[in-house]
Amino acid sequence: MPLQQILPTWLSLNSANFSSPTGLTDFRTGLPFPAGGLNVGDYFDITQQEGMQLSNTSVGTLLAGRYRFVQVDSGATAANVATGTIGMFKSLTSTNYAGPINNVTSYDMALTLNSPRKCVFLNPVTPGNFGFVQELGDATVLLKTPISKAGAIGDILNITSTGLDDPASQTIVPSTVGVAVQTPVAGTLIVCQLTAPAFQE
Amino acid sequence: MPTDPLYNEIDASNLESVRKNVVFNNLFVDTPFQAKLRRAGVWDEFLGGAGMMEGILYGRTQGAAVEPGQTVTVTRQQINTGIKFLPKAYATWYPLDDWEMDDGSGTGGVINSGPAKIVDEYQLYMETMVMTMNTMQEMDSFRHGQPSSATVSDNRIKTINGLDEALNNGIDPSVYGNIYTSYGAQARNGNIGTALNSTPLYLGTTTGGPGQIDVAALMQLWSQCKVTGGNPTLGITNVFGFKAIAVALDAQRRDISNVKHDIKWDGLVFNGVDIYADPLAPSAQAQNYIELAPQNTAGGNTNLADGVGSSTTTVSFTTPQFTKNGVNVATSPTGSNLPSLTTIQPSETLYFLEPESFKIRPTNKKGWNFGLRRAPMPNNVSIDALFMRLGTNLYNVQPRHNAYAFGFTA
Repeated sequence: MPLQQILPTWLSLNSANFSSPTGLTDFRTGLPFPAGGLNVGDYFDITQQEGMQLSNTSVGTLLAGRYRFVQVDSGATAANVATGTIGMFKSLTSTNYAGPINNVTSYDMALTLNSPRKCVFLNPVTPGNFGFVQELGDATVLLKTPISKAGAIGDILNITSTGLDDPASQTIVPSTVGVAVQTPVAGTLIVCQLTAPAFQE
Repeated sequence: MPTDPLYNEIDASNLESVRKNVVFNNLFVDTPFQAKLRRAGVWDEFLGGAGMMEGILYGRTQGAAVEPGQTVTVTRQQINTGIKFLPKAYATWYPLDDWEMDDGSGTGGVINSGPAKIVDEYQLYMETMVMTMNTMQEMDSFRHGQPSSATVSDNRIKTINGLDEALNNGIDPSVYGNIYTSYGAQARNGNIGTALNSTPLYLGTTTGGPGQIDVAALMQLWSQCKVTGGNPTLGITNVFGFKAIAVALDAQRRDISNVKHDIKWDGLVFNGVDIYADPLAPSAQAQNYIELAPQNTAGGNTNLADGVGSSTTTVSFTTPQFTKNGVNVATSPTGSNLPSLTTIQPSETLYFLEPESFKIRPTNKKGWNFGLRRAPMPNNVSIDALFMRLGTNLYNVQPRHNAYAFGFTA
């Protein structure tokens, strides 16, 4: 599926928690309404100004980067699908090379921790529902408590089964999410430059 | 979740009562400043060219009382020049899915068509894009279109050259805290003197708090226009500025025109100036009642925004140290009443304008005069991008015929 720069988002990106893969549901049958043009896997780039225009600022202010419309895996831990937490694509992991595409689970699902495909949740999304995640650019990420070292700008941030860490060993590994642009502090949201490669699903 | 049976008897046998083709507007507000200017005949289509140049006269020839037979040295100095503005581009857009809605052909989309259609969604988007465009224009009319500089804090190079830069004197901060040392790219207070100057009138306290508006302030504004040969006939203020004026005049029993507000106070006349309330004019209070960018609730698109995602909401700023003949002074030497080095609460504003000195310059090319551009996404089966576009500018060729006041509240 190519880059999709013309699409409806229906709500601000960080308000989406749709039960339908199009964002539209027939309230009588509960079936997804096949209309509007939003599809699972649509990904697109936005500028800083567009990020502002597409933000629910009470949840967070979105930054420039690439965003994708995905399904949150029904087995994901709901509490770990929150603003700034890390999501893991199930399609390509260390043990599974044929998983569902554009399906993202929470970081505590151990089988996915070495997935090279990570993203950042923008807001709480009910497992099984659909929402937008960020996969490239400057993202606001949530650090776990505690983190393994005193945080500093430029630190490499790695995902673990208990959340996003500022590891003592500052080397890039498969679980690396990005580089801290703000000083990492345990349990807080900071801006991180995502280092994952661009990819298709 | 679907019920079993899927429809109950009521839903299976009744439609909802609905008035077709009616959607009540609960977002946009009126844009009277543009309407009043258009009504005043300031529409001057831009036919093309490398910008919009307006000739101005700023100097005089030499002369004196003489004795018959006297000789003089006849010299010549430049007396006229030009100011120049560039056309500014605006666009508003949405993705058009012709599976869902009409594509402009009138046949309707697969879904939004036929007798079951309540509202033509395509038409609703068209009208909304016009209102979005008008809202951007209206708000930008009160702002500026210059790049940021040492005295201009915000970069608005892409927006129209609105009132904030037009009605300035290159010395006093505007209601948005900017000092515009040039207008139409022509330097103020240099070789053309004060030809392009209009001095803001500050009505607040010496400590920066908001003050009151009264007859004296209105007369001062009128005087500043008249002394330069201006003929102010249009007053524009926010609804809350209007309230302050009406209350002040009523308290002083000076509002005796009884011409425009005998039934409802949509406008009032002061000394030949029709004052109108514009909900998008600069204000500190309006944001409490209409959502103005950068205020932004959950939807992300439920606010009213100008061309840069901001609005006309006034915010406090600090004045510079004013000087006179190189010596620091406590108050601006221009007569603006602005105190030096003080945090100002601009609060509400009132403009006294001479409409004939304004120009609105939309292009005559219909594709960029609220025209549409439909850009298909080549590999998408149903989605196009639809852009509504406007190339235009707004500026004033005689700023000194106009004046405005700020720093007052009700």
